[in-house]
Amino acid sequence: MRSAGRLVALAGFAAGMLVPGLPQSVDPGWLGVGATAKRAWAVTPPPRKPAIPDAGPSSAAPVPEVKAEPGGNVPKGVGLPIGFSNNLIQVTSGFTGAGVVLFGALDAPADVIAVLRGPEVVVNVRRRAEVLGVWANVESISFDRAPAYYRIASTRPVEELLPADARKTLQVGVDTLRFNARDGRPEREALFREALVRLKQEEGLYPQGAQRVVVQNDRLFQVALDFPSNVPVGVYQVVVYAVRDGVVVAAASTALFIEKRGFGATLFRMAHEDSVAYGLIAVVLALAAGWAADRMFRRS
Amino acid sequence: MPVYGAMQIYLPIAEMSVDAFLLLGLGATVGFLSGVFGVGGGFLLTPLLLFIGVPSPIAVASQANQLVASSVSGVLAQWRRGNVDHQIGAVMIAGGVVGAVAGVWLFGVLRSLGQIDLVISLCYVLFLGVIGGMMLVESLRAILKRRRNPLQRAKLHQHMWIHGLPLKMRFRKSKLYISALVPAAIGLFIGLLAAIMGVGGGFLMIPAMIYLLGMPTQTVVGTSLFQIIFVTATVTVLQAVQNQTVDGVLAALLLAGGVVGAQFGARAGQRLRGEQLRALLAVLVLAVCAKLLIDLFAPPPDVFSFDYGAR
Repeated sequence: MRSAGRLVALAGFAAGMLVPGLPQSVDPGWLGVGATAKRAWAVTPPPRKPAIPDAGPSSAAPVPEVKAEPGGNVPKGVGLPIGFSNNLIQVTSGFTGAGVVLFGALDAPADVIAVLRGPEVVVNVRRRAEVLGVWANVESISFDRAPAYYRIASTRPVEELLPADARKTLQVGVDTLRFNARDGRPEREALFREALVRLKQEEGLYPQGAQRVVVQNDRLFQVALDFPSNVPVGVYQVVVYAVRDGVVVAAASTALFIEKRGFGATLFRMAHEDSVAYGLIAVVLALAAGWAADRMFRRS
Repeated sequence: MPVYGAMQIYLPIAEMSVDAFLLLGLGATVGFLSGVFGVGGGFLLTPLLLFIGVPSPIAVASQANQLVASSVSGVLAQWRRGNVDHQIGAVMIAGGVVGAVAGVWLFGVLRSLGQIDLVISLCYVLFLGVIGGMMLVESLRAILKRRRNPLQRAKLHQHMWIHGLPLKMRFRKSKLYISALVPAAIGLFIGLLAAIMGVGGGFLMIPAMIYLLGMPTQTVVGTSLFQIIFVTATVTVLQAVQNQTVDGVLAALLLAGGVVGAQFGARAGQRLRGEQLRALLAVLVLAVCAKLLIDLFAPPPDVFSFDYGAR
């Protein structure tokens, strides 16, 4: 469903969007660094473009006219092309955060909701209390499926767009997230859930308030998403819903990769995936360092 | 915000950026103290790492890795002077490896229960309090002793229950005929400490070897360093495998600072007056202990916290 071929096709589509016809009033912020490169594309099309077999809608007009029947059973992703300005964020040692632009096109006027979820991880939430004067963890609940990062973006507040039950089903909004508590203690679960959401929000990992999706000419939409420096790494998934009259009329999803790069990332990966070798190498290096230090002592 | 003069370096396992000079400085300061006093310094370095925000599991495990290197450089000098009793050392290593395995396992259990930070802090408060207190009393006594008449030293126990234990072995180098269970038990306890606190345990092992085993002081330092190498190496590998908490970059920085600091410390130690300095170190140890203690009793900003991983 999310094949590499489609991503390439979407990239081609993105380039196509910037061909003349796009209003000049585009927010310069989201053109950002890539602006010059994209303009160059507009003048000379990228050489690999003709090589894409299914580049049909991409090379066509910016707004594909296919499958326009309102509320129809639009196959997922076909009637709602979406893409990221950059779908690989590299977290290096000097990483201070990054921004990407999510963009896409609607086949007919509609509202847009984008849900971005980080990788699901096991999270232990712990509560401390005073035990003989000392603050100690006394209670904990583990959640199996808490997204490491979660944020929504929409054209209007989601409460105006979708009824509560639909929001709950689609997990639109922090309050609808299903964390999957491991131990069945419903009376305590809500308290710990709330605490986790609050802590995540404090760390900027569940940004509060829906980011505004901007729609141009009723067709093109885009939203700038920025990630803090402590963004968890992994495979992120964005699901975009086109909503009309409280009903989802189209949906599409694509992935965003946030990866660690550099020497530190290599060490981290080795420590976690090849931990025996990592430990042995750490010991051998320490033995060598101790020997070298002794040599230095003796000479001086 | 970047501070001028600071060089931020990323600790890949701790997943945090710290000032490289701060770590080198900490390593050098503690190395200097260990050079002056002939103590390991691990018991000061770990709390200082906690104070700058390094998570305690990572501070402890990386510290064990660093100790491998500092013990090697220490033991080589002792080896050349023939001050290592390999026989007693081997018995202590056997106990130490068992202690290390048990300690790292316990560490993992406590971590998954969310109690490891508390246990590490409590252990440090206890040990720093005892060591600092004993050092202060001893150094004050030494200062007073020089003013008054020299006191008669209490006679060592000639016969203790320890000498009745089975499995007696002859240790030629140290001229001892004692039960192998005693050095093995000392090693086991040191292994536990190395795993949970990230210390070499010389501050406990050396008195134990002198007073419990009756080893000659000449071979005590070399033999304890010899044992620490194997115990900390075991702890490093086990921590890396079980908890993935060994930060090689952190260990390397501490070591680089520590080596240089120890060199200056050893030279300075020969010229400085012992008792006053010892009293000063005792005060420092007690201050670190007090800070840990205050942190234990201080109400946290948020009673809730979270961490990742299977429970």
